[in-house]
Amino acid sequence: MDRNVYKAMADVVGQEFISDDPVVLETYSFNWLTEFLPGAAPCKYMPHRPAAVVLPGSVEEVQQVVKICNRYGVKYKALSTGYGSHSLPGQGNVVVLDLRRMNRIVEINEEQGYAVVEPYVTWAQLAAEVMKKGYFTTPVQAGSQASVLANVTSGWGMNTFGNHGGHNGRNCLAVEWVLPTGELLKLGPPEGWFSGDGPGPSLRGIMRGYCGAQGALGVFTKVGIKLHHWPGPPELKTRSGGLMLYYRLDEIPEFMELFAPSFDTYEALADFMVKAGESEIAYSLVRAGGIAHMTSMFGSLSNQEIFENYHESGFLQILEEEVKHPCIVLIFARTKEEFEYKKAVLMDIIEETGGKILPPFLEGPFADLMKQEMPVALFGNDTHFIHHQGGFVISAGYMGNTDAVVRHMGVPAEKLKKKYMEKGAILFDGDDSTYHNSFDHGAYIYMEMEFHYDAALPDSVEASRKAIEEERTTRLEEKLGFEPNDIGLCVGDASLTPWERVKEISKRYMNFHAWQQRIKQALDPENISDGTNYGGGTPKPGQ
Amino acid sequence: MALKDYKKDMVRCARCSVCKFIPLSSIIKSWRFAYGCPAIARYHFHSYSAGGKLILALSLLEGRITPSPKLRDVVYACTLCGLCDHACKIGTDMEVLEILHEFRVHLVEKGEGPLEAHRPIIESIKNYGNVWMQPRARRERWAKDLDVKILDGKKVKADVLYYVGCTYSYDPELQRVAINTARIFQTAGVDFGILGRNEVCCVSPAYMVGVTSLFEEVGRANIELFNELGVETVVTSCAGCYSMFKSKYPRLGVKMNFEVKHTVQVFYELLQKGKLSPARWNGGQVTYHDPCHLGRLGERREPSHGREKYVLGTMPVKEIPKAMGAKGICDEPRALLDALGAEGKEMERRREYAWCCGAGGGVKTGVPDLASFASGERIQEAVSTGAGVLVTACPWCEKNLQDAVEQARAGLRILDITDVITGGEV
Repeated sequence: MDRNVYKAMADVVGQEFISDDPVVLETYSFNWLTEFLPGAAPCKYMPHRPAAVVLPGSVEEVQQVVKICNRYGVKYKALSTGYGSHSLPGQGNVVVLDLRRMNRIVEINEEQGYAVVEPYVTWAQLAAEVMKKGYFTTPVQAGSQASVLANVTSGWGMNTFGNHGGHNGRNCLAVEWVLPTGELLKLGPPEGWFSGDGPGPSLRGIMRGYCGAQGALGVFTKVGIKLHHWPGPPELKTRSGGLMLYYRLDEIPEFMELFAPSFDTYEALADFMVKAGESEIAYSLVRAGGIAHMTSMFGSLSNQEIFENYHESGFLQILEEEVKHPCIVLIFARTKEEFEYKKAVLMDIIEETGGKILPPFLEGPFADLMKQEMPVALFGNDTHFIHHQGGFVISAGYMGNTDAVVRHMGVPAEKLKKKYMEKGAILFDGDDSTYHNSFDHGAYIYMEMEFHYDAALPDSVEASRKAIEEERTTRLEEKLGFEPNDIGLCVGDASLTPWERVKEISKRYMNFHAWQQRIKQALDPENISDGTNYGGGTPKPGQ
Repeated sequence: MALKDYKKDMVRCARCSVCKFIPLSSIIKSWRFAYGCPAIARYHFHSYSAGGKLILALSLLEGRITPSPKLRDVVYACTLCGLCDHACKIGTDMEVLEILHEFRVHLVEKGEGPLEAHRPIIESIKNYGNVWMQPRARRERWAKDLDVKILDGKKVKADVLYYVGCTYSYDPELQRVAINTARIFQTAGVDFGILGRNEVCCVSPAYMVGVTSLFEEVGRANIELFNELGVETVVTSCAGCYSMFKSKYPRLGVKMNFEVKHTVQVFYELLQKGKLSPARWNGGQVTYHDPCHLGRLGERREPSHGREKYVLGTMPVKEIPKAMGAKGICDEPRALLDALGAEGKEMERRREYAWCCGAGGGVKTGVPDLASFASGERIQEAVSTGAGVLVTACPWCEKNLQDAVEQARAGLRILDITDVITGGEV
């Protein structure tokens, strides 16, 4: 890196907090999903290392570093907890702003029900603190260790409690924003953090839209996040020794119960999810595919135990004969009356829609596991179990009408999954691996198709790449929704550059990329903030 | 053993950052004490996390990077406390801790490790049989006023070998723990003896920094020596020695004709049998610090050396039982403190997800800045419980935490569990 630039940045953050040593840079060029990016396949390394990594400790330092980047024409990319290839620079000679020193919970406003956090506050940290005050914060789907700020400002916003808590893009309130030029902007009210909008036109849509700009439009240094009511105790009592995720609830909160109804067809499942959503009874309404898929991730603590306990023992076969398309409903209430009412409504809906709660889910060791350990998975929001098999990738995923998505996408997805499983290149974990996550009481749903592969097996990686690309093509023909992940993740067809991929997707959605380019140009006239994962970055001449 | 055996696990790292925190939100109780890894908490760059080190190991094997002073500094900036391993294993089967250790072995084999500061310790073990460059004859001095048998396996025998360890044998501030232990055993009628000047370092310091040749040589000799003594049990007060005997010595493939216990286990057994009549504790609220080598590293671990089979297409199954680090010694010290009437105040990070004191893995010697940071953090956590006394059962934890108390001028007393049992009177 140019020594003048390096020195200028070191003068701002201090020598201790900047490095361009290969030993440091190397660890910022490796990440999950990188094996599916054009140019990087089939390994997890990006084709390039960053120019340097800088650790600013305050908004002022972020501004100064960004201004130095502008002055010297050096691109930058900010990351928080940094999980996934979209966190890394998408091109060479980029300075990484690792925001992990900015890790404070600035405020928890009990009166107005919001919290203000810096970039490196994880969901687990915030959840622990707000639960003490009777609040809950919708999870970050990337896990309990992931940044709240990054999720609500910059990347997607899916979460397992979206049925009652909404999409995290809408839980985003006021924002402190260092623009790509280094100027400071605050969205929201002039004082306080209780609203995402202030006087004048709303900029929230420009700031993130649905998918987030993946760091292409500057650096977010503080965010106000909406809090939701928490019917549970100030802290969840857990103990070790669990058989699925190792920790289990020591005390199940009084008015909380988890149900796993199952349905024979996707049509019945769709009816249920719509009605369960509309009834506003569920604190969480999600599904993680069929029973084989679920148990492959968190059925037991090790792969050895998963294989022995479910496959070799024949238990899975018994379960699968009865359980076709399960889903998970968490009822959580403040009073006994509310709890009983919600349960009664749930049972009515299950009956109306032809579902059933099967004996293994009602009593016995498996039911106990579900009762004591599944809530830990939900409230613990520990999602790294998705990597239990050595690799996990999702199809592009898409948002759509609950009924249409659940009803029409299950069977084609199963057909495709089966084809790849039979080749032995991905994990044989059942046909149904469609993940569904209800938002806003069933108003819409997020769906992704999940594949387990082994990152250590190149053939398995390649098969997964083909599978997600085929799934995408198949799904697009159905025109049931839009695909938020396609734009940010850039995974799939290795022959396309990010720019080409976005153009291809964009032509089906009113050429949104052209608007993104205009926004990018307006906010970042020198094109300094790395925009690879936002509309494909800067097109090459002639593109 | 070889670093390359674990290459598949390196590739499987998702860079999710779970290794940086204590596990799960249901375990994390506050913003303040959520972090789990001292190295990344101190140095911030991803390279210093376990995930970062896995990437570096892979990059080294792939020839993407070459050994350098910076690489060595990063690899040795780790206490090998195993928190990352525990956190990662909640969702995966990856053997993170084995990789971190094998990384050091690899550097040593390539002539790139250990750190310069470690070399005198290695030489001291070779030349003096202890880590403190002290004459062998002084090893038994702490026992000169005690009527303790020196075992030779022939004329002088006992049921129990009390293996004292280098630090309790030589450190004037810590010899009281050995004295306490001997007196407790004598009062309880335990038939025990020591090796005196024939006791040789457990070789943990060499193992931890990757000098496995010395570990193999001294470890085998120690097992043979213990076998020759004909003792039923080898008991040690040192958490580091315990972890070596319990978890690492079995890897040497030499039959061990004895059981290994830490003194807290024996004290607990004596208490259960009514043979321990401890003084009633009246020193106020206490908090117990789980030494890593007694807690999560007190569980026996088998390395897979990368051996695995595939089932269900691409599901990798390791050919070893999965060690979560939760079968170590965490209950007994708490039960003892409870029995003594000490009001226990638990720290948020405890048992298998306890925060490391910062001394292990060669860090106290080689990376004192990290050791100081980690112990300072632990002291703050202990103080936050409201307890006035921190009790532990490891000489390295005690030394490092005591240093932190003095540095911070914190109003906290650091005691060994034998101090509590004996009422602090030696």
